[in-house]
Amino acid sequence: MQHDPRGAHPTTRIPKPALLCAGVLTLLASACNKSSNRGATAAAAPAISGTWKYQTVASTANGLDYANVQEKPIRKAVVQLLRQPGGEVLATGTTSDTGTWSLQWNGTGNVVVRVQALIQTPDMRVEDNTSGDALWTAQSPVIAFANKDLTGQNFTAQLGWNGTGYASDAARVSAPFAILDTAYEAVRQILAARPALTIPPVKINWSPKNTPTGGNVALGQIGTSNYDGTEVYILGKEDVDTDEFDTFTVVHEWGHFFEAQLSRSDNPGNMHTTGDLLTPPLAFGEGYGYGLAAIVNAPNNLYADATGPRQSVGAGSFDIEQMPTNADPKPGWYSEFTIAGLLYDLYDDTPNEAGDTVALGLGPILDVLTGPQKTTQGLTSIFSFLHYLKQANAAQAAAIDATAARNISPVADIWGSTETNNAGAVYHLPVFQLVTVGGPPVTVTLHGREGGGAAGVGLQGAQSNKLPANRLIRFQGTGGQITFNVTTTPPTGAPTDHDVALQPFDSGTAPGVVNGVQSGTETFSVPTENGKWYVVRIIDIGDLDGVYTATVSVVNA
Amino acid sequence: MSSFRTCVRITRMALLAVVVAACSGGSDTARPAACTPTRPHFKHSAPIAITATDVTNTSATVRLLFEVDTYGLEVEIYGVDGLHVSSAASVTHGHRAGDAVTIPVAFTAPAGALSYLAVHVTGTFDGRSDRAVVTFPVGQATAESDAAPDVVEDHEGQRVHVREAVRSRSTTR
Repeated sequence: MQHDPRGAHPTTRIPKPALLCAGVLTLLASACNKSSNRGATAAAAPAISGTWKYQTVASTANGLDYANVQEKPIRKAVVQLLRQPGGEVLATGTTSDTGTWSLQWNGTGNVVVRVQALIQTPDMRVEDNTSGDALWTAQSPVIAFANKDLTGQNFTAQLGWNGTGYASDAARVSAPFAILDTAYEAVRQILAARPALTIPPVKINWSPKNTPTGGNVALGQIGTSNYDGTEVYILGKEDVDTDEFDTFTVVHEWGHFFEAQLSRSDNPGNMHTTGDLLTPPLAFGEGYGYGLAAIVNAPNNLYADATGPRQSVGAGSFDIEQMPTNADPKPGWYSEFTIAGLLYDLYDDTPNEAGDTVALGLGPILDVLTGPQKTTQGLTSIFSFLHYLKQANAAQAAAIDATAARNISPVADIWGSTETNNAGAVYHLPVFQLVTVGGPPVTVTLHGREGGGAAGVGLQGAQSNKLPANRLIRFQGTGGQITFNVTTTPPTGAPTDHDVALQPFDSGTAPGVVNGVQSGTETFSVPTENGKWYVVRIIDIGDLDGVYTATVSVVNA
Repeated sequence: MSSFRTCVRITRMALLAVVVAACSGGSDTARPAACTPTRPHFKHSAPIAITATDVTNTSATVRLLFEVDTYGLEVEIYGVDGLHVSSAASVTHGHRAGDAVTIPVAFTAPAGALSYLAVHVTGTFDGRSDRAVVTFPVGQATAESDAAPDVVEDHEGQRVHVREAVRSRSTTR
């Protein structure tokens, strides 16, 4: 990092009142003059005004559409007037919803205008994870300011595309502003539906160095676009995978942030792909991400993710409105794509599927996500979501069931007790196996490594989040200490047992994983509250392929 | 702010009196993937595992492992950030679930800098068109090659990455 070469002047901070006044347009400017404009007098200072826009391109089934560059306003972003040279901040404001800005300064000389990839309310910022988390900023050419009103100062953060490639990394000025604006659009629509929600600060990381390599994020090795539980990371590697203009991906990953912060996610994360039978919290978490992306981007329903040389490959795109009939090879409660389409159909007012007669809009969906789904004693799944949605919208319960009738049985409770779709194996049901404290042991079935072969190789154990490798147990607390036991038996002739680990949940709190032995009985003891439901996720973590059973018991300690 | 949970970040013990955090070096065989029950929420990718072994400054062995039946396979192996692939074996178009293919790759990489070998795959996986892309690092980043000249500290002490914008050509959207 360098110190600002334009920063020869002593560092000065804009006082708080100035920030409060920031962004006011000319009509209100006089009230803020004293605080927001250094050297201002009681008289109105001259204003400099214009627009900030960013260039963007659509992500399509054929990659990024560079033939149709669009300009959109940079909305609600912090804008600064700086002395040039020197870098002294002379005035600060924000852009409007149409990208307009106006700042006042009582002085003469050369200035520049900067716009930051920063929105103050709610706090949203796009930073460069490969440059010490520096805030992405675009700067205007030098302007000669003659202490009189100056209008028409319109600037564009450009795409940087020269017809065959990006002219340079430095030319890609618009990328962070595209990401910021996409995330802001999600926030805007959510707050329009439920104004009382408070969106926590979010930091989104983007860099042209961000590449699909696991490793050091300071070098851009972010694995892929993801939400890591704290921050959002977006790919930017030209000719490999850039996501700054893939608005569905940006909303999807931001949606994971929203879910974790304002709702709840019991989603174990990790890799997921076409046709996977996913454990219910993963299917819901990823399906919700796609569904939210479709809602925010409506009427564009095409999930598209441009990759490859010149960002020209759009393979893998799918129309969320057409789910589950399109590109959802295994529709059901375990499919992220089924859930994506279902959430969108619950939202939209376009009844293009059989049974899709509801048009709830975004508000009722948010009510469930930020309400009962957040405190459910089950896991966050399509079952808990639909159960609470039906409770809150009782008059439309039958229509909700009809809309969900895409290999999902009518939902009667948070456990999916009425589900009849077994995802191709009888042992997948019930979704949550009931075990009674002090009652007889229950046998459950898992599928180790889900057929072997590709499992566990290269995907770093990604099979551990799939339905066949997971069984969910529910039991009701007694008010006393209980002991939870799971015993597996070595297959005939096998040198080792199928190994399992246990992940207990207490209304979403999952403090860790029980993994005490490699063979035999996994066990733990805990105090419980009388009548409260608890969930334990049994996870196959062994190296052996094949179907096997485990015996589960819960006893008073 | 974080809700990221791993075995070694057990902070709330309301439920568990005796939880064994074996992943941090306990009694079971180390299995890092399973010992991290909550991992980052990755974006969707095609059901194929792409790995590289024996990565040197001049060569690598790329391995494709098909998780589902795949046809219409197209594999592009190329370099970015100055890496140039000189040869890579072609791959047949159709594969069954569980098939594995190894591809020897030869390349030249810039000295003293970090570059990447990219593998981009498209095809029809389990009946659905999809894609996967992965990069593999070659070489090391140096402080010199990694410096960003347009990162500055502004007058408020905030690090900013400044990029030059242009005057708009028109005022209409």
